Amino acid sequence: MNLCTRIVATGALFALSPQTAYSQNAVVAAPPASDVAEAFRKLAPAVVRIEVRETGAVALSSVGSGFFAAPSGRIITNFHVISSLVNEPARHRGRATWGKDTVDIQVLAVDVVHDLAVLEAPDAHGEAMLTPVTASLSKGDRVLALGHPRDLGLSIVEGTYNGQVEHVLTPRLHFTGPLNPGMSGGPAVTPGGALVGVNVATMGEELAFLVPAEFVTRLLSRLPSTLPEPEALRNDMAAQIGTLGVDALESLFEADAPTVQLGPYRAPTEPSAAFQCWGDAREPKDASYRLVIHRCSTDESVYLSENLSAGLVHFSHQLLDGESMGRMRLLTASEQVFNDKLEFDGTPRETTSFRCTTSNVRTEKLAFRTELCARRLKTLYGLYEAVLRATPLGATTQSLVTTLTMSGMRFDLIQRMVTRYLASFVPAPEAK
Amino acid sequence: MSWIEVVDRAGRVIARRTAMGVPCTVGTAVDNTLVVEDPEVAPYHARIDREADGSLTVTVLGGSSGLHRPGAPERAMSLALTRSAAVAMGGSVIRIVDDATRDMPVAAATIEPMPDGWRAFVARRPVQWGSVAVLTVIGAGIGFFTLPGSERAVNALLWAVALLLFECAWVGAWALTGRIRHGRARFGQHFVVATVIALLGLLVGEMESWQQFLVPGATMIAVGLTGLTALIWVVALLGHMQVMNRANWHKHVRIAASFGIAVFILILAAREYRGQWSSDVEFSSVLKAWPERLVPAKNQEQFTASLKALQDQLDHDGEVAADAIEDDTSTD
Repeated sequence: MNLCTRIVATGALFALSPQTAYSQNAVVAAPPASDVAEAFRKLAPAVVRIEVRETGAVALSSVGSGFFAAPSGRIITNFHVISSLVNEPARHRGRATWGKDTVDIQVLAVDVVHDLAVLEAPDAHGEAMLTPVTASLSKGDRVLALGHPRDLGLSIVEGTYNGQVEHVLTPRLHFTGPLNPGMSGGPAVTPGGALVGVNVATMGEELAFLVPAEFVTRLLSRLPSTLPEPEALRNDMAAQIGTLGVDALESLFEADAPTVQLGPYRAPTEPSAAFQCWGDAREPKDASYRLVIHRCSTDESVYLSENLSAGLVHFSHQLLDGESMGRMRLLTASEQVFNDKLEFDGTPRETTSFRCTTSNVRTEKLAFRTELCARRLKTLYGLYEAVLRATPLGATTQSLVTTLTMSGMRFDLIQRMVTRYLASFVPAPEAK
Repeated sequence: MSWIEVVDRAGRVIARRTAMGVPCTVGTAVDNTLVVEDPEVAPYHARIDREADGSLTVTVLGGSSGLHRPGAPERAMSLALTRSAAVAMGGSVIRIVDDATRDMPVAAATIEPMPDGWRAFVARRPVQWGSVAVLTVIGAGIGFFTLPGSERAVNALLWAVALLLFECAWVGAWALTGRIRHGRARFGQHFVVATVIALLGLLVGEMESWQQFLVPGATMIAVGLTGLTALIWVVALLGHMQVMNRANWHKHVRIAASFGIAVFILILAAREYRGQWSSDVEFSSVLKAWPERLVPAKNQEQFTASLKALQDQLDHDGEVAADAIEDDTSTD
């Protein structure tokens, strides 16, 4: 399960995406110390419940948390809590509730890369306001998280700070504590009440993640003076994701990137610390070849909507080892693996259909049969999803089929990644 | 008075008619003028006509074993029937006799003996067995040389059997229809039509694969190949209908053409439906065609240009739907 899935489970209406694993999260924290009770009393007025309703069905679309972190009634929450207000504004309405007060909310600014949003609630005047922590924290420091777990009312949980998470595209803080769906967007604070981060995701078993408070500060520093149109927000999101792609992915598959030997080829593996790779080998039923699989993927992605994400890069190599098959039969098997259908999420409103281009391509060391299929994200101008499938030509006893998937990226970046990806395949020394 | 008689393999007279009662038909079907019981005679095997000069001629109607002179191996589609020259079909003989000689048994030597052995068994149905052999070889070849399954021999056997079963079911259905509608089942001729159609179908299927490989996106070629597929269906239908009944040519052409047009439209409609919005990625590459020898590999510049063209297509797709999105997402 990647972080994207976890984020949805945490923030979106739990009735829509129940995660049975979360039942294990009902771990009671250590008995609250008197300072926890005191912190709750002080912080509760700053924390709000956020709901988004679908206007057609007049039903809840998502429930999450938020908090006042700026004057003039501005509320911080996760983008994934209120994403439908940006993606489908005509069909959704948002409201914030704290104490006995309820106000309508509108989206003022979004930091989609770090999963943050600032909401405008003109009629709201929070009785408390959180400010970011100034002192640096150490692993093991106590952190308190507030929110509305499963919409059961405002709660506070105690956990520990465990530093920055490794192997991620965007910075995250590791919080060891029982975050539950519905607490997304709520604040995580020191016992003294200073903001450490924003609740954003959980993997269960008290393994949870926060958006660092510095990104809240950055977002608040670039607020527009007037309420933007949803289209302007989406254009801003597309620009943010485009920048993320360039920053985080531009250097992937460079000439000196690591490779792994698969049969007669060396193929790319673990191109950056943000990737994790797995391997497997098996003999498919009723097939006369052995299949070696090598998969690598970024462990997280940027949440765009229930169906779409950005910044996700996944690639896999499948080596068909069929020495006794004969070339014709090996190529038939390769053709079957090559033509395996891939299923993606998305709706006609969000994306175009995939279009493909097929060609033989020669790199410096090898020639490939390639098929690149791509689609455009309609609501986020300038972003695309693409899949490259390729196989080196001339296989006789071992055939390699590779697949590279890229989501939510500018097309020029996709072009460069595809080119570098193909160039990073070379014949293994033994095969020369 | 002269008589036309049919004598069986044992020399018994099994049917008789006056020589004046022509034209008449001979066969195993009960509505023939001269009904015979002989496994080698077709339901409507032959017709006897009187020529302008008064002589009699026997002509094949639907018997795949044809006609021959008793004791002579040469087959013919039409033979003269005289007092001195009988005509044989299968194991039966048609002869002309006078009152004085009627009911006399035919000399055993004049009847062609039933050949024995597997060669003779095959020789009696050369068309059917030839078709079976062709399909067996093709099915076994596909199974043995191309499929990546673990047991090559089993693959070959299964494919050959599958192809034969399909062929038999197809031919059987047509022959049964012929039997019901016209009282005759011409397995041999249906086998020929079905085999030719199967081979043409394989050829066009392969051409479609190569088209996707050599000239992907060439719409007119794809439509042309679809037309070829429809044409095969027309030929198949027309062929089988003509085998059943050679009359009604115009009616058969109309039926087959209508069916072909329907097939053509349905295939195009199915392709159009597949072209509708989908979140799936479907690949369709031909790898076993040694592509590197037929299609030159693009260099970096050419590859980038093809990706740019893909982007232009996607941008066009997005713009087509842009207005609808704006309407949908506009706020009050």
